[in-house]
Amino acid sequence: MGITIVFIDPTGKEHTVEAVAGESLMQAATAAQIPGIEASCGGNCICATCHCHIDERWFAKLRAADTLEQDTLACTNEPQPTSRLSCQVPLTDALNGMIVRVAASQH
Amino acid sequence: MNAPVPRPVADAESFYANYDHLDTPLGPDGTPFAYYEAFRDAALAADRPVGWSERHGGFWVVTSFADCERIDRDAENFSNDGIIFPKYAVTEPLMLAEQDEPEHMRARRLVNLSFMPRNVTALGDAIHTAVHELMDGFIESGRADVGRILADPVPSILTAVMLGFPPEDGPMFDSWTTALTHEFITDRASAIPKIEQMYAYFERNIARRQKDPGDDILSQVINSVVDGERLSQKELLGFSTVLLIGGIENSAKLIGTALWRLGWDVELRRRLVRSPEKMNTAVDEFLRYYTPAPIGRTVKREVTIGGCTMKPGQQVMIVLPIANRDPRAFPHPDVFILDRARNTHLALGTGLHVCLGQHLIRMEARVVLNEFLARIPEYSIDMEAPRYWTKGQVQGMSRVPIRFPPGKARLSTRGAGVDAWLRHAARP
Repeated sequence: MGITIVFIDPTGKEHTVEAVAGESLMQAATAAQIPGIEASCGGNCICATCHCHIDERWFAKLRAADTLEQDTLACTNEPQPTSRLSCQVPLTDALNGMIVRVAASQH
Repeated sequence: MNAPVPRPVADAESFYANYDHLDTPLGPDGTPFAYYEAFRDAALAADRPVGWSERHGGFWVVTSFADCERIDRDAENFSNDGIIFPKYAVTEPLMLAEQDEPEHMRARRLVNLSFMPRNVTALGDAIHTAVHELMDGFIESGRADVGRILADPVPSILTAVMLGFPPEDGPMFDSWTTALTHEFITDRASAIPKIEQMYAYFERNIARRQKDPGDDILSQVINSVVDGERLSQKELLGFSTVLLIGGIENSAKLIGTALWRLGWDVELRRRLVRSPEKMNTAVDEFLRYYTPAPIGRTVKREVTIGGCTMKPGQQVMIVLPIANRDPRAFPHPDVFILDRARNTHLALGTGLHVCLGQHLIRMEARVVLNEFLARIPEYSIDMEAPRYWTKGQVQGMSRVPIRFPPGKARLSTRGAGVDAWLRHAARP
């Protein structure tokens, strides 16, 4: 079953993307070439260039960030309570319709 | 010696067979980019993304964006042992850069957070101060070699600050880095004592920090416990060298080349003077357009790429300066587009080994170029003074003589690091 994710890029433009359960939120974003998601380390939680803010309604449904991700997020430029590194967010059917705001800058 | 640039119609085979990343032919503008463009056009026309060079004992050469990206991300079939080819004159392996998993990630985690955006942003003030102090040293004269007195010093001063060394040691770092990466090839006898001096300096500083740690990155690495063990002395020396080479070489070459381009590209310069916020995308476009370095890998398992079967132990060079001009990945690849969208260049690598300093080099280049242009918005290349493109695995414009309407010094005091640099840059 497909999952729909709505990305809002740093310019405010919405992009509705069809994703697949099991892939990461970052993979869904890069496959759709969402502006602002660089993901230069390819999903290894080392570059902090796939930083997103997850809409509160869905944030609680995500598996919590592990210590490594939390430490890395704390070192981004604009961490917020609903910040995640999208490479560390596996997609599930429960996340259908999730709204994700791409961080204004990854550097 | 500059070999003539082959015609674009020359067959791809001869481009591949003669490719020597340490000695790329320079065109009339003093850079190798006309050669890279001709090489790319020949490879595209022949549909040959991969070929074999006969130089340096023979190695695979990969030029297409898709294949370079694939190899960069493929840690199963390729080892990082061959990242520098032929190897630099280091006696200890380069930590991170030359390591494979799981050792690489163990080492990377030790330093990774120190290079994340928030910690890098905290260094902005140090860069800002260094730039203005250095500019004060030459702004009243109306001429300067901004390769030597801006592009070289800033990365060295910044590396000193990050590693907890005195900034006035910056010129020594510059001469050691040059000895390791270039002089060892051109003048071995003169390079070796400098390399020995570098290792002795690191040994002393490591010993000091083992007794009395500071809040610098080197102290943090020395005193880290990984899997219940501390890093060995050899590993610590390898770490120091990689942070030195990684921090200084690429940044200096990128900034030098950008200052050269802005010296003659008046339209681009004036657009950036009017809109400094565009420097963010401009820096990535400089990285793509003037990519400083190809990188190497060693084949671990037999693999076929671009129709060529690569055997274990063979050397591969992925030619990022060409891949980043691949029209299949970048529309209008030979046009410098200030606000290029989705600039997915590979200049800083991709995958597990993506550049540790990627946030730092972007911020560093942005601050240096914007602060420089704010005080010297109008300048031109001094055609009577020597310009110089440094060859080697990492390339770039290292002498950038300019003339400009003289300005006024701003600060009444100067840091010790800056004085040391002003003396160093005045050397013959």
